Amino acid sequence: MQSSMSDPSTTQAIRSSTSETPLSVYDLTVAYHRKPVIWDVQFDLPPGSLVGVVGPNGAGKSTLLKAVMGLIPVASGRVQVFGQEYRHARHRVGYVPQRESVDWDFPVDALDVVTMGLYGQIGRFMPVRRKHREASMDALRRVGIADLAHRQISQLSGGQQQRTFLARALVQDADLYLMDEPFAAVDAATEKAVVEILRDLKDRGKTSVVIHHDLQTVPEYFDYVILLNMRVVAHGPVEQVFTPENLQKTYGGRLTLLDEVSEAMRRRERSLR
Amino acid sequence: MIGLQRPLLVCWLVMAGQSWTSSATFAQEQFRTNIRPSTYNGSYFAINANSTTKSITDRSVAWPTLSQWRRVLLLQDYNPRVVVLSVAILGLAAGVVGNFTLLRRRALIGDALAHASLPGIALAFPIRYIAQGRRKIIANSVVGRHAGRVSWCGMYLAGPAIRASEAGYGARDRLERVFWRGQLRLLSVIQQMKTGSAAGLETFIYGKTASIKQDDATLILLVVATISIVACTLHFKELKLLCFDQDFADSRGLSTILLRPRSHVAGRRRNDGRFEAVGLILVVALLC
Repeated sequence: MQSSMSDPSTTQAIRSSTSETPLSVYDLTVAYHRKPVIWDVQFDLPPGSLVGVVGPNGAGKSTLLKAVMGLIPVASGRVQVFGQEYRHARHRVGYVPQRESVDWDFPVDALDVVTMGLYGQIGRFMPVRRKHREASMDALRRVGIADLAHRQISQLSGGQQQRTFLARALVQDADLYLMDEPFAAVDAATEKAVVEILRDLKDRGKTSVVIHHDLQTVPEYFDYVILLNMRVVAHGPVEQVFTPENLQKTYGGRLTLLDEVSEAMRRRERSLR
Repeated sequence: MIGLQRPLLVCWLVMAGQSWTSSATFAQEQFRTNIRPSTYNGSYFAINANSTTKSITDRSVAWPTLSQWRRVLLLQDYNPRVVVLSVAILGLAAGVVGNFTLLRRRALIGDALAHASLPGIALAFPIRYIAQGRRKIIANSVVGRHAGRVSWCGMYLAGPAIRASEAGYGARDRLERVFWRGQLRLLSVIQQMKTGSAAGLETFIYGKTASIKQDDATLILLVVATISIVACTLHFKELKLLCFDQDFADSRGLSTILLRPRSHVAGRRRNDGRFEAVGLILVVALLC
């Protein structure tokens, strides 16, 4: 955090990421076994924003992030990252997966995990060099657990593991960060540290999309919000969109969709008549 | 004790290497074995070394002499040398690749691949029986073995494509069921054939280590094992990431295109030469 403003790449990063829309999603539909999980999701994110994705369990929040990165097949729709397809813009995207996706018993230490963020840059067949390890150490320092660099990953606490993941995303020096519940199972101190890192990223012109569960803190942490329940209920700046009515729509069961479907049917019937 | 193992292994390799170079070629060795049967009477643990002077009813057991010890430990004979070294290499390569399949929780992929060679054999066997009459066909039905495995791999790799098309969901499961069931039917047909049991199907399952030849060892085991080990070494960091955190590896684009098919192909290559050496069951065990 302390080194962020003196970073020579800062101005360049701001310029490059402000010039284009970091993430555009058009009409995205994803289905598991023919059952749609997210439906007709559509939004554009403003550059340099801190975006919260909010919705009940099973609303398709993780699915949305995975679909953006092409980790799961998309039934229809289009995703553009900085105006390109994801696979062409992969190096500009950092990802913090959900805690459950990781084999925590795997014999790697925290530094190894952070270095994994650089594998794309290092390239195939190439070994990890000292400069890569140093960059990883810097990232660990930024999240405040440099002293735990050589601890095995399973020996770290939940918050420390989450910080390690964050460091792995930071070391990529991406322009768009996709984070799947970075606040899950962390204590207040870690949550504060993570928020500071997110704000720092925002100050440097980077866009972060964060899946979040605690509604209380949404207006405090984020400046843009996507309310998701299978489809986008609302998206926009927090002060406009994060209203009780919208939340009621998002969390009030699956009625949202059914209401709209029945409304559409009614309209169609009327037009047929 | 653990610290001693490596220097001891190096010493053994150096000594063995020296003795091999001095013992010249295989032909000479055979010659020597045939010419001087007194130094080698067919068994390393000699039953009565001086058999010429004693009664034939004397079954007392003598300790092997020093030269016999040397002969065995330095692998001076062709057969133990080929068998020991090739099986050691097999264990090494299977261990390296098997580790990754285990960590990815796909340990049984080896089993599936091993079994996948059976339909090919089952299909090739009756065809060749009809075409060529009674012969020990299994030994040269390599084509059949590969046909079975290639078809399974094709099916495996085509699986995602089939699944991706919405209408084809479940088609792959059906296909696999037909595949495995068909092979069982064919096997039961073979077992009812007169030559079925003579063909050596059981050696395919349990292996026939002692009959392995130098050609098998160098071509199949050494080359294939080297390829698998080198591939694993070069891709170590990618494989590590894939085992640790597949979602992240996918998001980096590391696994989807290259590694998944590759690790399966590596598994397939590894299995090819090995059934004859140690048999299907042990290969599966080594891979798990």
